[in-house]
Amino acid sequence: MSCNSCHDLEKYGVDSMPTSRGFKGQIGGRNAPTVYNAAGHLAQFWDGRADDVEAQAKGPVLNPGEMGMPSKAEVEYRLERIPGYVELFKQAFPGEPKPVNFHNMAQAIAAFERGLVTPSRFDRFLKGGGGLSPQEAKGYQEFQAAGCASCHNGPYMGGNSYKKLGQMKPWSNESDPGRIAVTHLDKDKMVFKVPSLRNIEKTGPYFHDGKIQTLDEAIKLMATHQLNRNLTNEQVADIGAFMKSLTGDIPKAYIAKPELPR
Amino acid sequence: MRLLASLLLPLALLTQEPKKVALFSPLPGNMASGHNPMTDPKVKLGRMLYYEP
Repeated sequence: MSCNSCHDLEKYGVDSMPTSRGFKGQIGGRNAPTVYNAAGHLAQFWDGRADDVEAQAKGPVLNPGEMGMPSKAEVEYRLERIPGYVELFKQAFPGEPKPVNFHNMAQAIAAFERGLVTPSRFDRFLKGGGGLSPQEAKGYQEFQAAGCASCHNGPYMGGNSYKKLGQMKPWSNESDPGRIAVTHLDKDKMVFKVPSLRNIEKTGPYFHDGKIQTLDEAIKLMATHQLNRNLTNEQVADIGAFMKSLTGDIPKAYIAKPELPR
Repeated sequence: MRLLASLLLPLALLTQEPKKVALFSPLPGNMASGHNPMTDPKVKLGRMLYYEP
């Protein structure tokens, strides 16, 4: 399996599964977040256990529940056996005595991921180059009036803070305690990185456990549990319409699958 | 009349809230980092490794 198995670049960087399957078909514990626009977040993974995409790219390769490679040395051994990769590593990391190594593998994947951006109609609107539809504009106002923007803001509409899931009303399933597993601080129980809303229409199912299938339901749950608000169906529809303006253009040329060295 | 109203509504909503617009900003062209420059050979290799099974 590859990075693209769970983070399919043709499908907005997700696999559309509640949680992904590893190399033996084993079921993972959390929903695979999209890789698009992710490199700009304050940290990686739902619990922020990797500081950046360079650190993140090392994780799944060795995770026995994901790609399951036995060691860094084994990864390096496999890459060194492919002459095309040896040459490509030399070109990518010039002057290094041993360019084919696990660290450089992650650096290269991360450099590629740093180009995975999906500008949308909302960006064109922010730049003054186009309008939102009447419903989207109404949803944009509702989004702010409801308080969604207190967490979902900045260029990524999220991804820049951690928040307790169930801030105003406890979340129904606390089996995954979130960031406390990383920090071991009580204050981080049920705390997760605020996900980006970029391409949210295309990246369900939703939340860290992928239990919520529809965007409308996700909006209602967030309003109730994070903001202590009950939105009408019309408000939910309007906010959902606004969120769909965040669906961006996939960079087809940038993500085109190359012929792999053998 | 309804058509005119529907066209004017977005403008009216948005011009009322100039401060809130500052909460958001457009996506950057890329998410380059000083500690891992996006050189062409590195991005080319990274793209291959991303798809490497």
